[in-house]
Amino acid sequence: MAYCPRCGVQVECDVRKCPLCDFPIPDTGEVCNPDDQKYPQAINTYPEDHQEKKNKAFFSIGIIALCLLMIIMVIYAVYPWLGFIKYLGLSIITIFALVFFAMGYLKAWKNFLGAYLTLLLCGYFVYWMIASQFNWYMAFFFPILTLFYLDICLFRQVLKHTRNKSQFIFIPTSLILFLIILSMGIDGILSFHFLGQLHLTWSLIVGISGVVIILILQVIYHRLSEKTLEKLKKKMHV
Amino acid sequence: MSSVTDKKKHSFYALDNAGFLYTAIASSRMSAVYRMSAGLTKDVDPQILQQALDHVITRFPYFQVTLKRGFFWYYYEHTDQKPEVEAESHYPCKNMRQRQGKTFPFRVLYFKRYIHLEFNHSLCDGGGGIIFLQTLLIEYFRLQKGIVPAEIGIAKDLASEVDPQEFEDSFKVYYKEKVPPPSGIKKVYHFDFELLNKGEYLLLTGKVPLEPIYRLAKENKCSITQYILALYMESIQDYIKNSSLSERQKRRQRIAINLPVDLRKMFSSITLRNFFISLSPDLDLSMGYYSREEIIEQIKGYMGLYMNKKHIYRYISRNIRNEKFIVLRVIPLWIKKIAMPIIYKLYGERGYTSGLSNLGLVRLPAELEGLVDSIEVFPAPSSESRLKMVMISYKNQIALSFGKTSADTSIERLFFTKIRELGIPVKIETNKR
Repeated sequence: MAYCPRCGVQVECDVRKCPLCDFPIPDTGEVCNPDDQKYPQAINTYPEDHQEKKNKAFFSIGIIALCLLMIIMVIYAVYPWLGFIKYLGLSIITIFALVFFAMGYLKAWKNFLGAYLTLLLCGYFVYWMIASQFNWYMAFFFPILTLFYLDICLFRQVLKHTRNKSQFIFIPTSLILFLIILSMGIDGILSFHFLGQLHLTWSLIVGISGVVIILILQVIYHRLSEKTLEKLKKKMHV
Repeated sequence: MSSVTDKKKHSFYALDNAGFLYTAIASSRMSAVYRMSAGLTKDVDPQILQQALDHVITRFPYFQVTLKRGFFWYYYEHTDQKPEVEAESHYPCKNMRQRQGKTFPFRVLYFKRYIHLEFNHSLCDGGGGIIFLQTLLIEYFRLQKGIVPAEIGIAKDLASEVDPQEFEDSFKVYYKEKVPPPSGIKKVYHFDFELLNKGEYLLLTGKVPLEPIYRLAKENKCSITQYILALYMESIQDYIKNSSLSERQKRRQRIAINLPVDLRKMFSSITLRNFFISLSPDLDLSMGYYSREEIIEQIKGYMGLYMNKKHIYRYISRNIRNEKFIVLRVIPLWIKKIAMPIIYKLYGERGYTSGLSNLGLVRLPAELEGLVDSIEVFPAPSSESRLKMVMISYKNQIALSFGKTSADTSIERLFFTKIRELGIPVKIETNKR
């Protein structure tokens, strides 16, 4: 009979490492009967089941998008002066592409990049269709979208590292951080364009109040250490 | 004519209040599916098992059902289809795609010399499931070896008539109006273990002899459940003590264990459907760490205070009152389907750290005891309560079975080391490869 020398528990004959402490089980020379095996090598059917559900959803969305596009094309052929129809068609194609990337058929970074490029292209087509004199695409759309994406990357990283901690503290913290960076970025881009220099105004209010809320949340979570409390007591005594 | 009316009448089974919850919250991580395993002395014959199941299911028409979607609630409807036995190939307690109306709310699996029954908790609790398992085993051996036991115990005689009380909603029968609800739940410590991939579920059983545990429980003037619960709580306390939390944070933790109580004996019910409530004995670490003796006293005090009919009526009444609440009832199912998992995630398991369920001592007919080696029960997976335990005693052995959605074994190691330190041998079996 096989035993774990560390835990002292008996284990199944074919087990090489203790299921409790991972300590190697000494070979007793006992011949294991394959019929004594209790569990099969289990298959995880979740990815397959999940994929099946996803495919169904994607197929349904694809059919709906295709039908809508065909209707739009017919309407545009009959009433070519209805300009907004073009934007409707572009929106449907963009949404469909975003749904495709959201379904996760490709690797995560490819989906992320794909969604970013889709939005860039969509913005560019709108800019091209409007044929505006002012280059708002390069001035605002491209930098703000890029900032938004970089911010999401940061938000994901923070969430990933705090996912096992209190969700009531760390999700709001990450979200506020996301908003601070986004608002400061937008403020910076706007000021740079209109004033020709970096001049933060309203985003500073968002930033300061956001940092205060984050600090309050973190203090609630961590509570002040006894040393800090002691120091505060001394400094703040009246 | 009367049989046609009966069939019509019994083709619809409204879910009980536990059933409402389990059907709405079921997901790949929280399948609400628990497992009962019987280890035979010889390999299972799948054809005979299928025949036995075909015979047995006719005696349990309330199990021969599929889930249907109503406008306000799900319900079970009788089906003429027969369940089929399957060779075990996937992870235990896999989610049942019930809401798509594709499966029976239970499955019968076999692997080498093991028969596994996996029940959706919306159909029945462990007390009902064990009756079905015993009846299936009796029929299996009758077909295979021609054994007809003289005494069948709690199993059902296939020739007997179905008693309507077998599928009654006992919560409704024993519901008392105007009984105040139990006090609210407090947030407790939850394990911070890394979760396994979705769809994966690990089982770990420690088999220990019954007699020394019984002796120790007697020495401490408590029941076996209370003694095992004390060891389990002590293990969790040790885990918190040795964790990386600051001393201040450790002292803020509260350990509570969900302890289902079978109400059948207390209320003389013979229903096979859900009929249990959950008590939650707890340890508040703000009052300091507890010795084993103190934990036992704490549990005994708690059970003495709450394990009585008067208090249990409060739980039954709370559950039924929620079910009868007209505002909740008229909310369409699709809204309930979205809202209930979110509410359950936030509050459902907030009040307990883990679960411990004891199905007691199982006795098979004497003629079968030599043919059935072991009986084990495993809890349903959950993402919030990442480790749960079910214990069952059979033939002078207790199977302490953990089910977990994490690969971490810290708690089990602490728990079984304590049992080893008491001089009791432990045999570990797991599906972790």
